[in-house]
Amino acid sequence: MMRMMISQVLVNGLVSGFVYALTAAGFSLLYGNANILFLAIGEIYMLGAITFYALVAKAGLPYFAAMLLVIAAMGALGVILERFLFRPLKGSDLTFAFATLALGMLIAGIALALFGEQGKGLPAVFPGRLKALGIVVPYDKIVIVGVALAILLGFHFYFNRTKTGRAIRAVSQDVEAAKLMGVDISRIKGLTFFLALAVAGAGGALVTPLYYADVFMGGPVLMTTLIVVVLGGLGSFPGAIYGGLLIGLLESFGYTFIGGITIIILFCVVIGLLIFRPQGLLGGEQ
Amino acid sequence: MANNKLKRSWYAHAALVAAALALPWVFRSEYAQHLMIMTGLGVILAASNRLIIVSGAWFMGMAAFYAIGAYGVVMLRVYVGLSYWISFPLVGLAAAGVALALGYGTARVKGIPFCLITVAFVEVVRLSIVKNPFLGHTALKCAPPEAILGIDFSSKIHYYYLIFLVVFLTLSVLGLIDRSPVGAALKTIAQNEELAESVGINTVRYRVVTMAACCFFGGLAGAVLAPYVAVTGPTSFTLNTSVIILFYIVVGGLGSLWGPVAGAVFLNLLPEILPSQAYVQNILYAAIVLASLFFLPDGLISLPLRLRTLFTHGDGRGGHA
Repeated sequence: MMRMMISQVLVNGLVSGFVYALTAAGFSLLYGNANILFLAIGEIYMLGAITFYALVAKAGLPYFAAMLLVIAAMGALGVILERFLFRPLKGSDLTFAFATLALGMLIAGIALALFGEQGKGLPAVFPGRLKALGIVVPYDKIVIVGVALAILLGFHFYFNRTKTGRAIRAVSQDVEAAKLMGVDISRIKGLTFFLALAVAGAGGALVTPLYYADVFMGGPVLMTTLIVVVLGGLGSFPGAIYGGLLIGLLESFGYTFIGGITIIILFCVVIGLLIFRPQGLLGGEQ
Repeated sequence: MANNKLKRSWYAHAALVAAALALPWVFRSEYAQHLMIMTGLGVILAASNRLIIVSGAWFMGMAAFYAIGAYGVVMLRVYVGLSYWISFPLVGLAAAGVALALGYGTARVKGIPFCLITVAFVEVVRLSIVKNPFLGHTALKCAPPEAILGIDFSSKIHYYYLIFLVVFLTLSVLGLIDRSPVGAALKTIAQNEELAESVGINTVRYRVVTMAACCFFGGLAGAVLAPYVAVTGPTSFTLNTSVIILFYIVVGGLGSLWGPVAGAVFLNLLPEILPSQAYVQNILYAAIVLASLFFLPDGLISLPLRLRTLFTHGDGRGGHA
């Protein structure tokens, strides 16, 4: 019985961990490459979720077609935002952070006008459950982990094996040096926005069949994302992924065994880390 | 010349105070007075938050101190049995004390990490309320303040004058700090911390004490909110509250004490002339903030100077207000 429960908690933790990893990866890309504290990441996640809901429930698209469409649409939104909002904007990092706060409120307002206050759920897309090794896992959860894993592996390949992927990493390490090596910085920024919003939107789309899509889901997601990126080190892409998995598991086990105080402890850990170890739990020495 | 200017500024302030005192007699509906009270709370919070940002600390934590004020006053009255008028300054001091601890604890942290600490702090305070079985599950009732000088807080206008006093106190103190050598030191710290250190300014102490002073007023605002809304629930103290406070500052302007005042008044009154669905206000606020960042980065208070230079073709009389 106990083993059963622990394995269930483990599965739930992994599922949310992979989703956290996606939004945190988006957030970290923008922080590391465009130097933007993107506080609208929760709203992008929410937009991904309600777009996915509309495509599946209203337009009747199959799961994977809808998923790809959400990814493309959020990516396109990212490119548009970079070109017409963030590139012309001038000011300090604080100005940019304010702009993302306003952007989040704008998206929330538009979503509220179009989607309404009521949360909406999808029926299970892949009904049934897998029974193996004494644990029971619904197929929907396996698909979430599978898609998230595929996206993250795609990133791994892209960043390590392709020229543009390496250019993105170069920009996150040293903008000036990357410029000297002939990297087109503004193109890289556009690409960063595409990838970051696409991956965050995919996170929202993934959880829709499991939970609800509603317009207020962005706020808590922003908070979790902040915990993850501080734990993994601000702007670190691998840190965001390991941090996401770690927080997913900690939250899942914490809520089961010590209750609602878990999240308070996590925020206190975040404050402590920011004071004593700003490079994150997983980052190296600065 | 200087004397004339001083006189004029004195008259302007006196006129503003008189107008504020007369306002609830001009707009007598309950709703108009409610709006004025909420605007007053916004003014206190935004003006306090502004001075912290002026000192170079990217502070997003005002909602936490607002919560400490509101919950503090309820707890002191219910569990300790103090009167409202004793609790009122005490919760201000409590907020200042918490700010001192937070400020000294985070003394070495700056920029975005500091900003994230204040965000996390808002969540810690809010969640400590929500998850606390004594506070969270039901909204707490707060009785009206005990009658004083025959004022029994049975109508909105009484709260209006209470708020007026707190706004007056806040703006006077913050204005004095702004103009004093302390204000000048804060601006130097924000611009160049090493330089400030090198001329002997204790940057940490200046910044932390400023933060404590400003959070004192944030706590007072909470202490007025609690009896006014009668039931205090944690939804008033989310990060969203901090964000709206920042929006007042962005729209009004960071450059002067009057910036957040103008921003709070403008953003509180504007939605009133439009349909009242929640999403209209969201979209409107967002659009105004984005427009401000692009076209009026120094805020509404820079508008008169801008217009003047526009009409005189920028004859060089401009400069920073």
